[in-house]
Amino acid sequence: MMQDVDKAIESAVYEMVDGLGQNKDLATKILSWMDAIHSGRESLGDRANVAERIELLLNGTQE
Amino acid sequence: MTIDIKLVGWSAKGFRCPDHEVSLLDDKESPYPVSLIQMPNGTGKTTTLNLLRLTLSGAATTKSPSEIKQYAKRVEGVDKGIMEVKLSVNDSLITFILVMDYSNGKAIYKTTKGSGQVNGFSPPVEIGKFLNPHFIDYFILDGELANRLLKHQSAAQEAIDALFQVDTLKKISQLVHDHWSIETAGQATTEAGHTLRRNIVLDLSSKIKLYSDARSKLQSEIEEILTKIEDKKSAFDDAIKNNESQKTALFQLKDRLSAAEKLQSNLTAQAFEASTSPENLSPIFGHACINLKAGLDRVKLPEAAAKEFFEEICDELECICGEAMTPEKALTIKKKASQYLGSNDVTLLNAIKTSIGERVGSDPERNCNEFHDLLKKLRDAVRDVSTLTIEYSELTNRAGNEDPAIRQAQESIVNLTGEYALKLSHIERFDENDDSEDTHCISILKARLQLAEDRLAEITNTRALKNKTDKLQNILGLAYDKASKKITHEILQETNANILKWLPDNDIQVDKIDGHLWLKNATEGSVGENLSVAYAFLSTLFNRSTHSLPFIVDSPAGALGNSVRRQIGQTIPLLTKQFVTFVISSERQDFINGGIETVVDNIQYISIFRKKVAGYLFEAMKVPNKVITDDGAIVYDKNFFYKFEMDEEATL
Repeated sequence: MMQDVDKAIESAVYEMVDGLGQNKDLATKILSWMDAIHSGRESLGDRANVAERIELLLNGTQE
Repeated sequence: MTIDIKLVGWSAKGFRCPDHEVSLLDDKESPYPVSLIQMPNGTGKTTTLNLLRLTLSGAATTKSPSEIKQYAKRVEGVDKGIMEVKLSVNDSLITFILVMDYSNGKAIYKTTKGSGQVNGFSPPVEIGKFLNPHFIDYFILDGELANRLLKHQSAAQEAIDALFQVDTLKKISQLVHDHWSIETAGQATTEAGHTLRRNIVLDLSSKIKLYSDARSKLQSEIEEILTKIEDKKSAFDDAIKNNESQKTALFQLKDRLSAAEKLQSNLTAQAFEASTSPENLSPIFGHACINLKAGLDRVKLPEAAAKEFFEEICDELECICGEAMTPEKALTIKKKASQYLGSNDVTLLNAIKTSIGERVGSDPERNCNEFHDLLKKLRDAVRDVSTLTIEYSELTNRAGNEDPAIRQAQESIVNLTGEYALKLSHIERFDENDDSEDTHCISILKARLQLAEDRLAEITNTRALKNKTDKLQNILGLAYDKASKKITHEILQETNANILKWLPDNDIQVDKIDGHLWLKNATEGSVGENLSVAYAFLSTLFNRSTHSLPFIVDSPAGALGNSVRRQIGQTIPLLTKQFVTFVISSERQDFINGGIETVVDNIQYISIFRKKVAGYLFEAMKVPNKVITDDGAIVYDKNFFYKFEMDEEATL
């Protein structure tokens, strides 16, 4: 369980990822990023970090 | 990770409120679950609460100089105010210090964590989402709280978003979209664009295949024709050999014709080469070049001028530096001068002059005459070839008339040569450098195909990225809606359960949370009901999260009737692990005795007032647990708390 992400968010992300036929790993990547943001380890203002995270998400998204 | 935040205490010095230091710790050094702070109106209660908000949110740096100066103590010589607030975060002490510099109208922060102090407002990352200007008002509350949550368009939703940060999903979605925009800036992205580019590639590919096949076929046919021509020529030669009357003359004429053709070819090449030199075409060019050369001979070059400059310096009695010119110095200057005299210009001009001399010489007419002689020789050679061709043709015709085999070979060669020329003209279309829209040039079409394939690949990649971006944004958007609705629904259920528990007889419930709290069957509750609903909502909010925050409330019972006071008094302490409230003496009745005191045992009683309130200062001096500052008194005593009867500050 993500420490800094509410369980409702966690279950919603998993549900939507699964519902749209995507791999479960994508949900993990989204929640891992949210957890890093909420805990203050990463910031949405860090452009380089944001670009890396988005590349990870897009690589984990199936067309 | 569970975060337990408690207010440990604060000190204020140099502000409009009396200088004071408040500790909320009990004998065991733990914060009291309930701290009641009694301050008469006019003592600086609002100032103290605002300072708590500013110190714990970092917002003071955004205040204007005039706003900063409004906090200054109205006493001469006070040029700064210092507010120090201590928090316990999971039992670790963190101190935030706000210094207001009144003379410069600036605010600065310092933060102490553990043993180190840093400049600036620097809360630990795990509590940063609470200690900011957007969230601070949800746990340092004022009398407007209920109104905001029940009437302000989005206050309740903002509180939910700030605490649970569901909107991070929306923020990520926006960043994903921004990423897509940056990656595809200036590229075609539509389906129509993709179809267009794919069709261009297909069209070019099919054209190249069609033309390449046609060219190969023509090439084969041409090679076949050439072979046939060679065969027919052999047949012709064989037939000639059998014609005794004509063969000698024919072979001789053929040799002459070959020689004439060779000469014509050589002369053509020479004439072409000579025509590229303008001095051969007209003597005007030659004369102009000779004039240019003469002019270059006369011009005084920069090098010469510069050289003279150095020589003149050497001839002077004094150098330009002011020292006497000695023979040794003069020699050195002359020796070194060459280092500063560039020779590139001179070399170039000399090369021009030499070239003019070689190409034009001294007689421009001679070049033209030689060129005209060459042209005359070429004309003669062309005429000779023409004459010999006609003669050879006549002779072969005559031989053909005498011998059908020769005639047949001759006709075949003529026909095949015509056919060859035609095929050659057809095949040239595929090789000539024609860059028009309907070109048949295969190499140009291949270059166009490469470009079109690159552009198709670009839009294909873009489409893949677009599809992924759309899918990801869809997931994030749907997850936001679902999570937001789920959290909101659960908070609504729990809020109503709390309201039912705390106000069982009031029949008041929250119907929905849509921006703000909407009450069921009523557009507006009483002041007490609204407060209860607001507190129930915040309590639910805070209890659901893994964080525990203090409730710091200004005058929670001021506008309430006695019965509601009791209800609120019995309710609020249960909402939170730490309840700190600022009250005036008239709020005590029913809210504290009959309210809070019926549900909590361990209560802290604090009275703060200005020293000028002489009557109570005298009483305070008798109390052992007190602090007297330059202009204020802080008394930690329950009896004193109840004896203190003053809503508005006055001098007694």
